Amino acid sequence: MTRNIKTVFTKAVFLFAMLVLLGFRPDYGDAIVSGSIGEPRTLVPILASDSASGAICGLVFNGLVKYDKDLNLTGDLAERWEVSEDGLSITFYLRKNVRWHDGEEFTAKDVEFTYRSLIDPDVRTPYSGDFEMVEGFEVVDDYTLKIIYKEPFSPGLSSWGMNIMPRHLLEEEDLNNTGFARQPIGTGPYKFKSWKTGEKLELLSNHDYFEGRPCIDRYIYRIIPDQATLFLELRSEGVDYVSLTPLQFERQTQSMFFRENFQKFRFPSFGYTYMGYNLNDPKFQDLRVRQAINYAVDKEEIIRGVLLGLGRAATGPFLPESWAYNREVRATEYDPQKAKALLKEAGWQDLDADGILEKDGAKFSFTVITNQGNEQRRMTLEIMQRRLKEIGIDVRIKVIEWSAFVSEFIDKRRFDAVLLGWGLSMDPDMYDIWHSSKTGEGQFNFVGYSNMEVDRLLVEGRRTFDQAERARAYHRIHEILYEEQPYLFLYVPDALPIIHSRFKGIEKGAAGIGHNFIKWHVPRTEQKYTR
Amino acid sequence: MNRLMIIGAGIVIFFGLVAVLAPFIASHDPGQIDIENILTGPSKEHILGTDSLGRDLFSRMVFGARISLLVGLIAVGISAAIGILLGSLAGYYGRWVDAWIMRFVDIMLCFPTFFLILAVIALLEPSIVNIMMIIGVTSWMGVARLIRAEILSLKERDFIYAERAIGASDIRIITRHLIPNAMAPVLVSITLGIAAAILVESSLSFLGIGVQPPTPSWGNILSEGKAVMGAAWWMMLFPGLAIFITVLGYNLLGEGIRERLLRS
Repeated sequence: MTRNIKTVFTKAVFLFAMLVLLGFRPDYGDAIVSGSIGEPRTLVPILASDSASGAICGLVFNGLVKYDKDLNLTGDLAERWEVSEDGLSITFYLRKNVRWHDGEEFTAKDVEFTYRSLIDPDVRTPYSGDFEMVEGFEVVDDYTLKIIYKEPFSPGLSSWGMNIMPRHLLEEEDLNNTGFARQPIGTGPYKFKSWKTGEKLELLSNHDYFEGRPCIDRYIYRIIPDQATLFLELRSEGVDYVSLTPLQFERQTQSMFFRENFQKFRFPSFGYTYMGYNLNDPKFQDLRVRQAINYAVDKEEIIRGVLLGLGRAATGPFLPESWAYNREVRATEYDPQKAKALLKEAGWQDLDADGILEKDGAKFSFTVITNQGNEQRRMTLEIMQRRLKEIGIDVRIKVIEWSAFVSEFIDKRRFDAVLLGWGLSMDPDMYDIWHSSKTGEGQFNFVGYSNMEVDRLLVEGRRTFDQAERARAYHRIHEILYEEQPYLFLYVPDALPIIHSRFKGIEKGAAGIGHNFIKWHVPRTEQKYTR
Repeated sequence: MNRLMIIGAGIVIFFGLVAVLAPFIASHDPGQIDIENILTGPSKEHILGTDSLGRDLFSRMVFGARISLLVGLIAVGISAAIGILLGSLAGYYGRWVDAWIMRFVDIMLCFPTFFLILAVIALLEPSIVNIMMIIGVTSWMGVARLIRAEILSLKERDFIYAERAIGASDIRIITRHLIPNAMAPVLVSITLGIAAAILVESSLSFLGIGVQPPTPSWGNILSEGKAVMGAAWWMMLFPGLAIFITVLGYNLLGEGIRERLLRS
């Protein structure tokens, strides 16, 4: 008891000292205007798969658990949890007195509803995979629930970071087609206010938020579908918070104006860029062809040319910081001669001397598609196009507007190759992307990759809680994927956010800067948007 | 002789020569990527600077002239062919042929051309050939109207009656006598049409739905320039100027021809 009092006392003293030292107390008010090229597709969190939707849902909703700034799992709507010894069940103890933005109380029923929706085959969610492993879902009382798995399932706990939806509003609704998608009600730090299509979304701070009232009163998400226009807006201080392109970071934000008015951050992003082959295409089914392309593309050149050095080469689908990343996997050197030799071995030869290889009368020519609005991807393709031409492969580039890109080309598998990026979650489980059962329409294994050993390892990796054992499985997957090249792994770009300097309290952690968003604040004297 | 017309003709010939002689004029390979020299300003080595992949802007502009002018010429060729065919049929046969064709022209004129083009491109793939076709089939209405009006008056002339009296076929009368005599105003319209087509191609490429990379056209160089506006002024200025001057050239030439026709 005394010890307890003592710690509380030291903590209080420390806190007081901090406050005096830093000379601030939380200032409420002001608005943050964030600018982005993407418009959310839906604000039903279990359907949201693009980063714009994710950004908004992350402010309006909460999961049961979340990652803190050091990437440890911590409670969000769940106050605490217990995992049984055999790893087969998790018991969550929920926070009490949490209210939805409309005043209803949040209970275990809402979690149950969200879970039922996730496994409902009629709901078009890409996240069902993690929840299919659940065998029993038991609501013990309003604030306790018990989840039982068929077999030990290590990504299970983090999968409950999924945002929870309100049962009382959605029970009668068809989730695929509900007005809620444009007018969400959550439990999160910000309440939805309005959405003007193609223009902006506005959120208001939730004064009753269970972790305390967020300091910034309003969050405005402006949609400006062009990086150059977005940058001009930043320059005229029409937006406070954007992601810079490498060129803007290196060359356009060095002036006095930017140094005085903005703060820049740089940290590894949780994602990588790759070119995925359509493995149903006979020419890409030949492993030697895929390896040849890997030899012929100079990744360092792309990183220096496109990212201006602000990123690293990727050798597999894991983040270089992750324990799942196999440091033994070395990126192959750029070696066009080897590429040519491999192609020759595979039967591709330039018989008519036009500089393009042929095999069985067909030219080696393919089209890579990518989405519009991302200059880095287009530039990456132009560099690759040049390098592949040198070994006799004719690459054509097609840039397509995002929603048509996903629904018409990716989902329907109408592509030769595709240049895209994956954002990654903290748990290395990638069953949905690489397992051979996930190749159906709309599912994530759209390249059609199938390897029995990878399938087995993916299952193994999610079946044990022992990190060393999991690491073994993922290290082997990493090796196989680099060897087999179902993707041409390109780079891990750095995240390059810039934020107006009136915002204080931004802390860079392993998870980036968003983790303490509700503590960001603007000193009263510097507030810009006051009403 | 009109001085402006000579300037216009000079510009047109100049850019025409640049396009034809592109491989000899260009100082670098327009596709040569050089990541050590990204977005460097105009210098001795790169007289107009380099783009965001270190490619020589001058060489890309020179090759871009080929694409831009080619698209202009072929698109206008297509539109002139359609316009002359339909216009002469309507003018010569009159009555229901005329009524139907001219109503069709009216319908086509109802659509804002640029949006029509955008809609068609959404269905087809953006490629140089498609761009030329689309611009061609959406811009022939002016030519059709001009030809029709000319032929309406020409076909009442004595030499046409004479031709008919000696038993010449309709096709012969139209192709040998009516169209050649009706060409003068069409020539003006074609010249102005090239300028318009170059602008449309540039606009489409600027929007990213025209000529696809890595093929340089003035429009897509300009579009890349917009992305790096603050860091590299040369990327917007030079292609912008090239488009401006070329379009000006064709317009001056067209206006000049028109004035001379009016006078004679």
